[in-house]
Amino acid sequence: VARQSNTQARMVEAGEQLLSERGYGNVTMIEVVDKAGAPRGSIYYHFPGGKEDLATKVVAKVGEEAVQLVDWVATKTEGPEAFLHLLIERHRKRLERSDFAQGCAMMGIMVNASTQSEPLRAAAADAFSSWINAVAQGLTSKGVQPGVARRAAATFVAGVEGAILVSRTTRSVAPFSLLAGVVPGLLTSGDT
Amino acid sequence: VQRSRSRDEYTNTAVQPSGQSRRIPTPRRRFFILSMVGVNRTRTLLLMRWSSRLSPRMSAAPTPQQQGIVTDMAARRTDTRDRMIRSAVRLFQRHGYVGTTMLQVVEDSGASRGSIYFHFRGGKEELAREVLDRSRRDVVKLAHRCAERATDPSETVLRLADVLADGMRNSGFVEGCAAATMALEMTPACEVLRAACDGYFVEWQRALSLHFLDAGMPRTRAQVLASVAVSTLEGALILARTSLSTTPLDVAGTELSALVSASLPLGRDRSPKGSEAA
Repeated sequence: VARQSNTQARMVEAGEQLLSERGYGNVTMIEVVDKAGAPRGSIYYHFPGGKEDLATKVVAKVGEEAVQLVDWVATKTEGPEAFLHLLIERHRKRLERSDFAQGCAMMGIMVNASTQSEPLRAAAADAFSSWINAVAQGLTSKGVQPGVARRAAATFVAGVEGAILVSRTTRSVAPFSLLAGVVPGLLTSGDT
Repeated sequence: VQRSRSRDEYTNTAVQPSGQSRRIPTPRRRFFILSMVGVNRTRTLLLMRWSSRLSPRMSAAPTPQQQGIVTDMAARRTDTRDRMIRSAVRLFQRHGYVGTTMLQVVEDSGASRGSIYFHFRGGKEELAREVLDRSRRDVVKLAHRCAERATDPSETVLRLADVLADGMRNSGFVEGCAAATMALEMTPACEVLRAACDGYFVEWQRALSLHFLDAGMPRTRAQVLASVAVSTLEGALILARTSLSTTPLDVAGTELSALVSASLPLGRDRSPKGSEAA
């Protein structure tokens, strides 16, 4: 049983990488098992629903990790600005490590799978909203008003996703530092 | 005589002034003939290119009547091409680059199947470049239009987000940004499309930053805000599509607009909208 779940985890891992590189329509299950080094016969054993099934698990994993990252960053930083700055930093580093190949798997899946699979869309919507909630909570815990925190968190998540997207095409991490530049404004804009 | 005339339309028979007719093989017929001679496909195509140079029609100057037909055909040709690009923009927005087939584009635009590689020799990639080109011009136009109707740049951003939200809502949350779909699918794989997507984002940013500059914002700040606005709106489009709601675009719009308004020099109309939004 341990080995089984291990194979599945490896396949989800490989799926995440491929989906974040190329999007949902551009990845086949064969590529996923090959990348994971799993036998081809194991595809429908581990994922009876095929690619949709795999992508749903990837979305759940990515969403969970995003929330974990937010919580971890919240414990490491003081003050709302430092909190957002470190988050931006982590996302930037991740993209740089993959040489601009791997953005966000969730975006890669959603950008054209929302028309294909309703369960997948719903799973991604959940993941995004729990990510936004986590950021909002982090901000509130650092003394930002709840209303301001919610709006700032929603804009921040859109900003991070957009920065990943634009960074990949321009092959430069400039969008992240530009986003970092507006963080103070983002936190005060609600007060005026 | 009757037979040769009826064949006229199909076999491209050139009617000579003397009344005699000489048949010029159509490309299709030429292909057939050459393939019967027993050369392989590549060689046949090469030979076709070569033999078409020898074709008298190519060298003969067209009569005024023929000229008329030619320009008429050229007009129809660009029209079909245009329709195909418009269909492709919509299809790419929905299904992405990989999820859209050339056949779907043909069916959606009502063009004939044979016209695909006639209009787009470079195949799907050429079509995609045209799509990005069209989307880029459209988004720049949109930015200028929003700026024209707004009293200051913070309102421009608000209007821009509104228009994007309307587009999302009207399409039932399936038509996002064509450049984003292609960027996410093709970015490391295809350099040509990466560069075209890059152009899309850069031009959009430039259009916005021009309007920020016009309102007296410092240059570096204008560039920062323009690129943050573009990337955040792109992110919000994806969030909107996922959550089937325009809230991400509405929130991003008001927040970005407040950021812009806070960076405008004092003394200008500091938009009551900025504080209203907050």
